[in-house]
Amino acid sequence: MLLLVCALPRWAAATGEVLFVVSEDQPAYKEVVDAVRAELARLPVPPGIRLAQAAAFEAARQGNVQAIVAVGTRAFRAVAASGTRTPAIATLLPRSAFDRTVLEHGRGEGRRSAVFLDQPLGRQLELVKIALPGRNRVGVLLGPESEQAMTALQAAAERRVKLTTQKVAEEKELHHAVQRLLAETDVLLALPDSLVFNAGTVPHILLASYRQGVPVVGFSQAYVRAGAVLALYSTPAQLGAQTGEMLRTLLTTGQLPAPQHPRYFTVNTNPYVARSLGRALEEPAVLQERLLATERIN
Amino acid sequence: MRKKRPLQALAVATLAALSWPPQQAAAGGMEASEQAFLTDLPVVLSASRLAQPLADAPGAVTVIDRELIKASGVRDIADLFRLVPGFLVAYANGANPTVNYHGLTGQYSPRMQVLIDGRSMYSSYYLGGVDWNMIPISLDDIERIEVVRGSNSAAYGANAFLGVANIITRHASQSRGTLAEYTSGNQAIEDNLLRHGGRIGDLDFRVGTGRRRDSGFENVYDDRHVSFFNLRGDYRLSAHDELSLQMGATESSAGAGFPDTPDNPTRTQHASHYFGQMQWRRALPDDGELLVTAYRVQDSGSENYIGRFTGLLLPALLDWGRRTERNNLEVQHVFRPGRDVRVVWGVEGRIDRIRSPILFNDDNWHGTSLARLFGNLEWRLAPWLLANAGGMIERYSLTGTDFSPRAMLNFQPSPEHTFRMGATQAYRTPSLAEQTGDVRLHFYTIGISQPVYRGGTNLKPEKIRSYEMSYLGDLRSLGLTVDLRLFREHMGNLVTNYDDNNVRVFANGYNALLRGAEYQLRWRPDRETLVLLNQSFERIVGMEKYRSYDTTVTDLMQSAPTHRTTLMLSRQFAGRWSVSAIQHWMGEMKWPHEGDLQRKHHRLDLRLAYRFGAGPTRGELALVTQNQGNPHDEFRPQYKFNRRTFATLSLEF
Repeated sequence: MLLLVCALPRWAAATGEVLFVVSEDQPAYKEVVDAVRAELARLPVPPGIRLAQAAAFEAARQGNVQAIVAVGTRAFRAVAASGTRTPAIATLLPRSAFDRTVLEHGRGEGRRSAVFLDQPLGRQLELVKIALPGRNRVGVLLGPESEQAMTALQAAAERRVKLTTQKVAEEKELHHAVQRLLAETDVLLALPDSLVFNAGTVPHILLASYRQGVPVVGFSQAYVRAGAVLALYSTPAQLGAQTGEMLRTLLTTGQLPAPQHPRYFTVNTNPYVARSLGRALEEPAVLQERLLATERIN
Repeated sequence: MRKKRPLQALAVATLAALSWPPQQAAAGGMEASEQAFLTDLPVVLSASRLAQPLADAPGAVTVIDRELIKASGVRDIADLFRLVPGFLVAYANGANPTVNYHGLTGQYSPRMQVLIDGRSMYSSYYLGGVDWNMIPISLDDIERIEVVRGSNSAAYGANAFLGVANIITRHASQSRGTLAEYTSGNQAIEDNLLRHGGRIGDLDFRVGTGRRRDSGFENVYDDRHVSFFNLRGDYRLSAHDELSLQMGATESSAGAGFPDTPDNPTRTQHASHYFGQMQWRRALPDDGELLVTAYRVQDSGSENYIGRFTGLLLPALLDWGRRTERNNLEVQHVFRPGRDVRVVWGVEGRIDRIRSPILFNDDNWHGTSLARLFGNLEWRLAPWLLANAGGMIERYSLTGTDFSPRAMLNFQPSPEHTFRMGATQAYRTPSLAEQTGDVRLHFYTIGISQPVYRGGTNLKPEKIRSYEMSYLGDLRSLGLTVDLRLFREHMGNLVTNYDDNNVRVFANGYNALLRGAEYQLRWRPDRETLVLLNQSFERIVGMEKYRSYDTTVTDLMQSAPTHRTTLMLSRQFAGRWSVSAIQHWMGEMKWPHEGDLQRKHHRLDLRLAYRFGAGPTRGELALVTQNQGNPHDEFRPQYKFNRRTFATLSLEF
């Protein structure tokens, strides 16, 4: 009882609203918001909710806001640029975008955290090992946005796979970088970079890899549809759930958890492409379970 | 003397216009955001792009990929079929390649279908078959060739009688930058190729032009000049829709005839081929696809000479001028009604028109029409058992309605081993000339017209019933693929022409029974090495003539060599050098009709290449020798295949 009484003032002090800021009015952003709200609904006293577009953030943050959820890069940039001291959790943004924004606008006295959109590199490489056994020469195309991942990539590859990378500084170099890379790899791991992987370049990369019999591992559902043999990604709902959990911790303890990679993820496969490449793949659910199992061990 | 070729000029102009498109706005400067994860991507590897796994294919298929094309060192697409078990390739004179599967045909090979991206190259002219010189693409444009060994009318319609070659060209996004290639060698070999590919917005394009020239066999009037131009654009309409546009043209001139042969004097044959094709591809969920293909092909030829016939050497003007047109529309739909079932079905309509005064003794257009309904059901009954059942109903204006069914069972006790057995029935529809031809010699000095060839009216389509048992071993740990096919082919109503009072009359003339075995071992001990071993043993075991006096049929018994072996070794060294050697051993055979006995012989082809440069600017210098050893007879005893050596320099930038 005493404990409850002690806890009460905290609750009282924290009865502001949660402000959701979204980059755009697109379904993916809304799915994240819905999933976070579903998580918040599990609190004994769910906080009030406010929703704003990134462009309207300044107006929306007036009043009693106790926490901000920024969905998307643009939303988080607006929050960070405002210099607000309200704790903010960003999600549906890649780690590089979070890091750069924090670098530019500061950590807001430790009041910035995130659930990244990208998967930890170790998890991606582990999936390659599990799903495509025997294919241990992994090739990665690095563009201007993804080349900073190089060191982390090498560290993650160590003792897992043999890594080969090709840098692409301009789009016209892509064709040959792909040819060179495919000549010495068994699997092509796609890492997000708008110069290397976009709707215009993906046909070329997928067709070239397919011809060489090299499976491509993508980072979104769209890759599997387009012709990658498998993809590892977190759905907006999965990111939202994890963000919601973080938010609950913040609201109940006042502690803001550190930025983190997604804990929940999805493995998807394209069995038709795999079969055409002469490989049968395990069911996505099996791969996902086995990937989870390795993470539990480690 | 070098005549400026209008086609080549047009090609170069177009190439120049397209070669340096405005640079796309640089994507740089954009910061990493979630967009990469959220954007929709075009469906690239849709059903028709995916090669069916060989283990699931309803029959034996040999794939010729780019690596093999390069390593083979060939200049002609036709020569690639030397690397496919059971196929016979020869030059019916130095300018006219002929390709057949399992014999029975000579210079004209009408029992095999050739498709380029679904477009039939099977000619409606004369006896049918494919004019290999007219193929308006370069070897570099080819992504792969899937050669179906065995009848496949169920999927490809009449004329896919004994085999089908599906030539699949590269998506335009696969040919980036500029490629310039020059080849020079003995026998006046001089080839060139210029190709450029790029992207403008959502359009990937490729444009190419090239030329092949050589003087054919020594001391034979068979020089050949072929030039072509082609253009391909792949345009993304949406994430699920893509439009491919292709057009191209080929022009050729080739020597024919013999000196001091009054009825077959030396002369030059000119031919041209134009095509335009539009293909709309829509990806549907779950590996489904809708594919609509429309194309138009126009061929024409000219060849005029005065032949002298009879003991009196009476002159007759022979004008082989011709024009053919084909308009074709096909719709194909692939879907999966259940997890283990895949259905491909579609309809196709075609109108062919031909005008050839010499074949029909009139100046009119003669037309045929064709309507097709086809389907195939692929059903995985168990993880180790796959059933394929398919068929095609065709209505052809000349011969009525035919049904070509096919059934195949694939047993897969493990992913390494596939055993297939099945049966199929297929047809070849006689050409318009075989059906209604009326070839006459007009002896203009005496005003007499003498019939020489006459169509067979009411010819029935040729029919084949083929049974096969085959094995496909994919022994990954060894890097070895084994492909063995045992076959029994019963053919009936085969068309021949017999002598009827000095007029050759086309008629259903004989039945034939073929039996044999063929295999291919493809061994890749490591990524740098490829070993290929093909052997085929086939025998025409039975031949039944409908007319005892028909002498043309007798020759055919020996039209397939009893055995053939091909061994190819190819290896890359130090990343820059590549060496390949191909040895062929051919048993004795007799080329039917225009051809002759071809003695047992062997042939060794060698290729040595060095790659230089790196990145976008690079090149290769290759030296090829065909028939390193002694000359051998090809097709006719006076055609000696001497050693041919040529060098190719290619630059990419």
